[in-house]
Amino acid sequence: MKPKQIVAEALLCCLALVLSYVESLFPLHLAVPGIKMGLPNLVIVFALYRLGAGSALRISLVRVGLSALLFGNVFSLLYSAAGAVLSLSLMAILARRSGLHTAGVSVSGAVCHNLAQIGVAMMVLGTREIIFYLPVLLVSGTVSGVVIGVLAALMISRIPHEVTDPGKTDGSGKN
Amino acid sequence: MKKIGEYRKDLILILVLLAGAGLIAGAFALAKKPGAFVRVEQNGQLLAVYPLAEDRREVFPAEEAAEGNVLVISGGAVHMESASCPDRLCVKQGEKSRAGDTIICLPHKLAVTVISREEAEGLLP
Repeated sequence: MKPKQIVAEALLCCLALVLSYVESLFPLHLAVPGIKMGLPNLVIVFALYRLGAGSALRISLVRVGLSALLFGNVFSLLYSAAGAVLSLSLMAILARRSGLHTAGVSVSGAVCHNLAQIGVAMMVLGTREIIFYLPVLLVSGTVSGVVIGVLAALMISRIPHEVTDPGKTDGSGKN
Repeated sequence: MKKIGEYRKDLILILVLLAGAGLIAGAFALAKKPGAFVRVEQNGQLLAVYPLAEDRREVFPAEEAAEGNVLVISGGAVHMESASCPDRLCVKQGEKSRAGDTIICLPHKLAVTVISREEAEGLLP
């Protein structure tokens, strides 16, 4: 791994961690727990398009681990890790072959993240009632996914390529 | 500015997800648990809690009217038989039997809510 890529990944990881912190400062106390803006996903989508799926996965996992240590607990780690891995896998596949733009990819990731969290919550808590949150979380995931996707598209097109490795064209590349 | 056509797939995905959420929400609403009790509140104050299983007919007089609202529980469902208010919307709301269902009479500030057994346990003496 080139030093430049390590630096880029570390920087993006810090950025994602800061966004996790910002998000933890403003918890959305809405009708249903688990509704989030998904701000760190902004960095993950950016990394996916500009550095590739491997980098995005590393950034995401380190981010999830550190933010659970700093702002959460063991359960939040479990929820976040399941959501992060599943949503990133889906986003990586869709970014390459679906013809979706960042908004669509980000929406898929957000919804997948919420589905994974519902799944984990049902297993951990052993109650099926949580499934009633599904429609609300689908809508909230779609809304926040669109916002994050549009912002990520702006970042991808405006942040100079010298910041990330110019020689690397993993991920969907074209942007 | 890119053309909207470029985002066709994204838009379809978003619409499908929102429609899916709507459908699931609708299915859940249909599958709601049957209620066990009826809670009657006026001006936010609890007036009474009745079991849905027992047929009964109760009159809740409004301050300015002799009759007020006539609430009827029969066959495991509750409905407003008559009301002295002009719009009688509460009567039109029909029979309710599932937990979370409500009949609201705005002019008399009367709220009738079907609740589950667990919810009723906190209210019953």
